[in-house]
Amino acid sequence: MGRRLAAAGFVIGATLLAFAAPAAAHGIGGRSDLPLELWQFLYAAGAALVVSFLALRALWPEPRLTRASAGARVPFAIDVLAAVLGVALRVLGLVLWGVTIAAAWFGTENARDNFAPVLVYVVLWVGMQGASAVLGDVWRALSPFDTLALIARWVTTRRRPGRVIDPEDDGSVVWSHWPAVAGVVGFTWLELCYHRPDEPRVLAVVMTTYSVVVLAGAARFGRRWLRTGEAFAVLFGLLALLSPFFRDDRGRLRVRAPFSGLAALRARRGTVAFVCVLLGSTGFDGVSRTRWWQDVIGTNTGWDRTMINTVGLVWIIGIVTALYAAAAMGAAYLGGSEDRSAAPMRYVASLVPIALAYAVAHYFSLFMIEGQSAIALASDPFGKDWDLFGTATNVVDLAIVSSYTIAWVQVGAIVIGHIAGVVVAHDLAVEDLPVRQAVRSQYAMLAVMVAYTIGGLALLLGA
Amino acid sequence: MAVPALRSDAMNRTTRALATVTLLVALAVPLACGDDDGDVASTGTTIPSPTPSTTAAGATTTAGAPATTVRPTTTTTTATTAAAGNVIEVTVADGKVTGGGRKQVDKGEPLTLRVTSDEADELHVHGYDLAVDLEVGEPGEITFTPDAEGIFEVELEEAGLQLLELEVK
Repeated sequence: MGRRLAAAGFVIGATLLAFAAPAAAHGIGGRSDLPLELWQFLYAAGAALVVSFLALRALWPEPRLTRASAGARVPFAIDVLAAVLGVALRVLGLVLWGVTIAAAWFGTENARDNFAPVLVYVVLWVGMQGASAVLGDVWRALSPFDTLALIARWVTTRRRPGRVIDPEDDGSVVWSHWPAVAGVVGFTWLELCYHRPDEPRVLAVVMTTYSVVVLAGAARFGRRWLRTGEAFAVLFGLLALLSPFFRDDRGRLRVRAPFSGLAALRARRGTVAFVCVLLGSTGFDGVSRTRWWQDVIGTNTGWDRTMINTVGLVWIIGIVTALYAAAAMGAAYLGGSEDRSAAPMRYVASLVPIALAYAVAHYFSLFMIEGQSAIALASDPFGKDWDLFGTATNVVDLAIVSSYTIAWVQVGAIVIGHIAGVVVAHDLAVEDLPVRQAVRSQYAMLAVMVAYTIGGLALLLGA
Repeated sequence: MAVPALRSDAMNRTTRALATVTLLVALAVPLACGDDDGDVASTGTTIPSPTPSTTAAGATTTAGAPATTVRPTTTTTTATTAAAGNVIEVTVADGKVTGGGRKQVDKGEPLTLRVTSDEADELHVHGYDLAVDLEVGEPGEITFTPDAEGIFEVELEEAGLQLLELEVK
């Protein structure tokens, strides 16, 4: 039984492997990592398989994560310190947002000398994913939209006290994650498909439009809507569940075991789609670096290139989503559950660590190398030869991390993400089912996770 | 739910898992190698993998002679690396690139990129962030020593056309 499923997973991985062969492209940079060595691939794939099979028997028979997710309070002084830091972050977020939009509109049109592209694609998209997973939901404080909404509320209530009433979270589409799905699809399309993703004026239009839409949403549905409808808040909020730090319902800072926060994930409508878009877009980033995909693109430039990449992105997101939905429903079937359509939502937390793992594997070197140019550009955001902080002449050290380190970070991230995903899915299953049934239900989830892992590694092998 | 039964079941399962891994390793090796061959063939630049092709100093990879796009399957063979003063030459005409593809170069070896385009544009080596303006029909050159590993795009900036990729190892 196990072997047959493993074989199925392997076939899917092998299909991806057959496509895998080198090249480069994403929002910024133009440097990509050397391919993994074959033996690194085999070690990692082997480790993922062994862990998966051991997990079926060795893991705990009682759910543990929910209890662990409650955590413990931190000393009061640290809580206060974090709150003060939060205020500083609000100021920082607002300033960065203002400077970035201004740089995009009025700075140099040369993408390499403009602050906006590196801030959006490297610091925000990649850096904040990592920061959220380690430090917790820092976007709650950094979000310029939330700070603006806070200021707007303060101003309006001062003028007309008691007039601001947030509509209830009634579970309708507006309060689902679907608006955020639209946001994340738009962002990944811009980054991975559009032919000029780093053009400052393009970013200017996109950032302005996004800000207006999001703020209009906040004005209409209240500040709380920014937690469910704004794409970055949803993304960073999901990843923050992996962090040991969080604030409870009463706003007190607590610590808990890393990853245990996933047990507290409340899936809404659209959450599954959101996570699948995340996984699929990183997957497509990998595919687009293969020589096979470069051949598909050929000498197409401009909008032709954009169209071909769009088809690719939709295709990979489709594959990832279909695999996951099939696995979750398979788990419900094998576990003898009546309501199979609810299963994808039930297990969505198990995909979050895998999404982070993919992001780390694909963007670690981008962050380390391109992130350095943010240091120089912070001193000269508009490309006008300023030197605000004396860092304008900071030179990017391309060799700051060796290929050796990068390769091991990639392999390590994917294997750890796989293990975390397997453990979380198992814990959710034993929460719902007697242990024997729970273990049986996990065959399907394991198969798809092995497929994701081997597929992800295969893309790195061919990078 | 007898514990001994679970144990032996687990043992059995572990054995099977190990067998599966062994099987996969056995299967994956030829498959991965086969992948490389297929890939090279599909780009029309077939060279037996471990053959060193350009070795002389100042060796030139001329346009249309695609001698440098092989990814060796073994780790130590530098199949396509030339000695010091390696020159890569690329021509662009009607949006078509001749002499492009993936080029493997050794870290620390001086390298010259010589590009001739039928339209004025800017030649840009990403990552190293080197650029030179190209006049119509005039070869433009960038000479540098690649000292950081990775894969780097080389493109015509205005047209957004990728010319080649440098795989620096």
